[in-house]
Amino acid sequence: MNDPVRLREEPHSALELSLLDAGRSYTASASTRGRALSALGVVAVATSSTAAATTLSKAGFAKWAVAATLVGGGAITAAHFAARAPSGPGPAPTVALVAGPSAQQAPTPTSVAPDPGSAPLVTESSNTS
Amino acid sequence: MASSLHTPALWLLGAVDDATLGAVKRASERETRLRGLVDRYLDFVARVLRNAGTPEAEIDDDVQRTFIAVSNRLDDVRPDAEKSFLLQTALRMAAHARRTLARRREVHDSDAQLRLQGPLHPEQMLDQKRARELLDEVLAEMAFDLRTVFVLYELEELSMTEIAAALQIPSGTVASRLRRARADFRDRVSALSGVPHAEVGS
Repeated sequence: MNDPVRLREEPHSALELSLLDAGRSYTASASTRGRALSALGVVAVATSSTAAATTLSKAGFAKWAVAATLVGGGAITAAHFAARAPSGPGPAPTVALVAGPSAQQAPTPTSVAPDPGSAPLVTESSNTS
Repeated sequence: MASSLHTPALWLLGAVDDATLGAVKRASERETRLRGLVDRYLDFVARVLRNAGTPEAEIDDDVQRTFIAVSNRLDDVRPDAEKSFLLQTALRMAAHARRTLARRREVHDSDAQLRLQGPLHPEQMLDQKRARELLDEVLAEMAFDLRTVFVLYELEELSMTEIAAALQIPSGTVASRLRRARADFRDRVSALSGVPHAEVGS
């Protein structure tokens, strides 16, 4: 089928061309796109995606919570049985790990030197007697 | 003992992740497709609605309804049929709006008569807003089936084959309607400018 030449390519008058151009140049307003997307629920879909992601992250959190509980429970149980087992030495006393305060404290050095003039006086008196 | 406790937890978590990730992926694909539809066809839909008879004040609402219609049937619409689906939906919306407008005009017919009085001055012809108003008036006087073919061919520049497919009518019917629509349009435009069509036509 051969399509005829469009009126715009062979206008009969300026008015005709003006009307055809007016019809072709119509565009949606800037707000129309946002409203259309909102009506489509694209924003809501994004929210749903976010909610799904939140659910996913909650599921992930639940996963690790369950896993940690199980692993922790298992470890505690194992430690409990290990602690009650008769074989092997008992745990080292914690007291031994803590050093006494006297061992930790070094004598404080005297920062002031003795007066050199007073001591020789006693020594000289004992030597003379 | 610990390994026997870990197994059901890992199984449970694997199932949750697969289901949720699948839902997120489908939602994302749907959103991407809808955004693409709006980006590609928003102006097309708005223009078809406007030129097919939807009043300016109702364009936003009908654009939304048109895209909602395609959204509701998105899984049934092939990607290569999206434009055709939108076009058919927009034309149905416009037909409804046109019927509603016709009922209003029956009440306010005197207002409509005031808009097309006398020939236009040249400066009026060149004014874009005025041109839009005049086009609305000319198109409003045309029969809807002629108007639809005229708009799709002359303003949207679809081929006659595309129009026949979109409107689901024979190609010969499209050609016939287009011929009558063009003659009607030129007669009305000539009447607006005060010059009979026979004197202007080539």
